[in-house]
Amino acid sequence: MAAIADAHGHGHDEALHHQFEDMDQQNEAYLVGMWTFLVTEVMFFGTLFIIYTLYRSMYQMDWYLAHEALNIPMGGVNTIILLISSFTVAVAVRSAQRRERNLVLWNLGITLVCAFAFLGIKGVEYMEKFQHNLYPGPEFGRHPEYLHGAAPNFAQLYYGLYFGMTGLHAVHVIVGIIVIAYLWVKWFLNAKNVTLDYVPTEMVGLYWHFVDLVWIFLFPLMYLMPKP
Amino acid sequence: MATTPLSKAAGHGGHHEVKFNHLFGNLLALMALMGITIWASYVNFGNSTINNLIALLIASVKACLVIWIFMGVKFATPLTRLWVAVGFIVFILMFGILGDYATRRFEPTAGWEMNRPNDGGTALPREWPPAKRPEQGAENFRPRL
Repeated sequence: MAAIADAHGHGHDEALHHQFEDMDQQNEAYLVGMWTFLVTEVMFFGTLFIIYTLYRSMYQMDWYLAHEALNIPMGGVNTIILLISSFTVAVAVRSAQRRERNLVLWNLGITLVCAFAFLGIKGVEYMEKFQHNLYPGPEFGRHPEYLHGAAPNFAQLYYGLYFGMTGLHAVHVIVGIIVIAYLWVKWFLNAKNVTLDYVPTEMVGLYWHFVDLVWIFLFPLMYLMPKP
Repeated sequence: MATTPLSKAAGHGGHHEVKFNHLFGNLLALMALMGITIWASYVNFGNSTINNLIALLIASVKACLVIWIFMGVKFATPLTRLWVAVGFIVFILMFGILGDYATRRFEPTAGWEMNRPNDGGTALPREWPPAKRPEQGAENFRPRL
């Protein structure tokens, strides 16, 4: 590959694929492709945010009452965890640019720990909601004291979106764990396609930042409703 | 290598290296904004709409910080920036779909709304049965109140 690149008279970068003129063009192609994917993800979550906007505006008081059952400290800790993991991923990308393998491994490792911690806390929250019969379905609202006075049907709508949106987000966290773990193994094994070119690490980082981005909106919308 | 607009935007060597302090400062700013969000959600501004606007404004600022610094759009090429901007603009335009609900003359009656244990929770005034009897064959619809 390098020989082909040299034959064209462009640079000497081993990471350069033959269809690109130079590394700048290759990196831009990677970035634009990744952002195209991320924009489709924004639209994907966007529809759910539209449903949320509609029904919250229609049933403000019931949603406010229903949301009181959520655990704000747990949501807050999860926000901090995701922000820290976003930071460590950004540092990992920086280390990948500087080809500091150990720092990449450490930072990706911390990110993985954060991701598991996030899922753990989310799991505890979900478990609590399941025990209180707050999942949508025929059993919903069997313990009315946890509805905090909200109309069961509207509270059910709220929890449908709560589980739908945070659940979809959790799926993205799980995918993130798989991708970051794969990248970690690649770095651990000194695979040339990640050590010589920082962009694969940056692509994974972009995906993880997107997961953080969704949570930045989910946390205030789901956990921090003002009293109407 | 000749200097093209692309290579100029990307910086020499094909990438821009972010300063560690820059990233750490961004993390601290995000944490501080999160604290402000939680604090502001408990403050009574007289109207909950103000709370909602503040929460969304802070979330948007946080999102911009993540996109600009962590995701490196600040150091990206103009084409990448355009891609990002168009994506989020279209996302915002998508909320125009809600205009449909605001302009409907009739809305479907939701049978499940009728057996509510307590009332007074909805934002829209609702009344059942409607004052005017629905036309034949239109039982599932009621005029907007």
